[in-house]
Amino acid sequence: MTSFYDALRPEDRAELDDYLDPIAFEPGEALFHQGDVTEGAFLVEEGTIELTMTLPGAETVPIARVGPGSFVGEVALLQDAHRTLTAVAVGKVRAKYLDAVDFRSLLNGNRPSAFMLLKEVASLVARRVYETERAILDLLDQRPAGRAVRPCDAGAPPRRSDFDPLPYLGAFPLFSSCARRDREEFVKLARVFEAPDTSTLLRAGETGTSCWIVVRGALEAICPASRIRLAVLGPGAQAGLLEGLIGVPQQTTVRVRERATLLELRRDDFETLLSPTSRLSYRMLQGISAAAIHEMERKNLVLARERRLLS
Amino acid sequence: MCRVTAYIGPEIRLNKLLSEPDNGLIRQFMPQQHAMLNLAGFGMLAWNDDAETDEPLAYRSTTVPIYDANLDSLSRKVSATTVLAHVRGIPYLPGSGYGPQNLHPFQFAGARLALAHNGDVSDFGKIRVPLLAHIDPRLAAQIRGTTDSEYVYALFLSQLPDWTQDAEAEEIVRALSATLKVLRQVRSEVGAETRSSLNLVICDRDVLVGARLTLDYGVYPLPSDSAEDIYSPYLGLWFTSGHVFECGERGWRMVNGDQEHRAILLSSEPLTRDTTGWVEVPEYSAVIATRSGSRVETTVHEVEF
Repeated sequence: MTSFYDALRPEDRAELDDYLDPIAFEPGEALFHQGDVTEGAFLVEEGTIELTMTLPGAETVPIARVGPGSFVGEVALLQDAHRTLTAVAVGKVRAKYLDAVDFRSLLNGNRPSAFMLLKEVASLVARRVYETERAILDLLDQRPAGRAVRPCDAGAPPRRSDFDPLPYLGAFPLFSSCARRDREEFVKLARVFEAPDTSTLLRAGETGTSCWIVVRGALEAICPASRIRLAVLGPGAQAGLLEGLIGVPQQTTVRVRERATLLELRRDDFETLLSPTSRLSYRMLQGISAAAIHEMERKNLVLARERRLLS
Repeated sequence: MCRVTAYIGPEIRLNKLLSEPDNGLIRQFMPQQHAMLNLAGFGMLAWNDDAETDEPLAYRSTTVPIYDANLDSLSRKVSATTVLAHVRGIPYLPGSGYGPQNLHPFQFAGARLALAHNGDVSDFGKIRVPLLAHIDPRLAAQIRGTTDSEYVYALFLSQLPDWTQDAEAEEIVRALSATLKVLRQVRSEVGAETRSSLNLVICDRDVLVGARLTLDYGVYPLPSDSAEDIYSPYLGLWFTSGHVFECGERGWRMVNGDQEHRAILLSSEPLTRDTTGWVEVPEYSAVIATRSGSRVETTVHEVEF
């Protein structure tokens, strides 16, 4: 499990310390329940937390155990939502609590550390998405036949297009923090492609050289072993962006489901974009954080479904 | 945007699906997951094991269901083991097809399976006539209304080996697949190419099917300045299953999922604001629940088209 706290620079850590409140839990005590409104996150210092999920029919299944150095409930820092898991102390637990309001005031204070903190939390959520996706893929490998999609054909590759995506980007959550001139700047960094059905954009096991944003049409993410569809990615969705953020290879193969208009952002440009050099960087990172949380919620739903169907 | 709920399981009083849960179906005239009000009426088919006939109770009214005193009274007294119910939403425009003939669910004379639809087929006016060539004339003769949904129902039945007989799960999946292929082909011939949502809930007394399908997903009209058109998630369809659907400490939910599954609820959005315990039907797939004695078996199938 990732040590969020240790990954911070000393100056960011010192700034964060001002907002952390010590808290302790007895064995069996819940930090929060699935369905609760989110309020803040817990940085575990000692002990173990078990994360569980309630499935349809109210059956409870374990999802993960986390220990010292890990954040629990980190989605709360970025977005008001409902808890998607229950967190219970396995033994005695000592932790530090970070209230979402405090975290957001730190971000809104426009301090130099804010960008790094936001990037760390976004990366943490992206890693959780990646781990949850791994758990789903392991489950899908146990599926009986009947849900496999057609084999991936060698479809025609995407072709450059002169389509102007700018009028449409404002509708997408990824760009919700961006002003029009930010979107214009982003479009200059990216390239527009038209891709026919079955074009393969990213392959499982490979570190892609590009990230893709769907402007129109749809992609699908396929489990490489069972050939079961893991996700459908429509307008506004991204493929490869979260993997790029945390520097990991693809776990699914991503291909075009419905002829699509796409924005391609090469990895080099993506890394430049995520350097804290401009207003665009900060605003895009907010959008990527929102995308990571959305992905986390989607993946948790899929994991619950697949566990339910396997039971 | 229409809303639909279906149930197979132990006998349940209808108001436990329609009105008592905090997001029960008839409360969805103002749905949680869509901004549009559903004001065009309500329809329901309900089967009961004790009935002398296997024909369902049929109820349809263009009254907004939350104000329908007859429905309220009926749902407090009547119980059923299978329910298919639908709240209709249409555009707020003259000519949108408001009227009793267009209320779902549809069940043609002689047909085993009934159908309710959530979604819409874009450019339907262009394909209505060409579609007739793919529909069994005995079914085409029974079309009374003007909706895309009723044509889709007739087209779906036409793809079954024998629509007057019970159908196996595999036959239903193949018929769904064939239905979508015909729609895709006919739409292509007339140049219709924008997103069409086809969440179809199909049932008879012992089989319930929830298909979450979309043609041309993500393909919005060009040019478009409607954010709702441009950023439009894949239309949802949810289910929960367990021993019994009841109200406990944490509100309405399926309970005892670790025991034999005896009940399944399928709905275009969860019947409770707390969505814990509800899961989505996979995209381009169908969930099929079959009653076998007191048990309900649930399987998921990819629908290729």
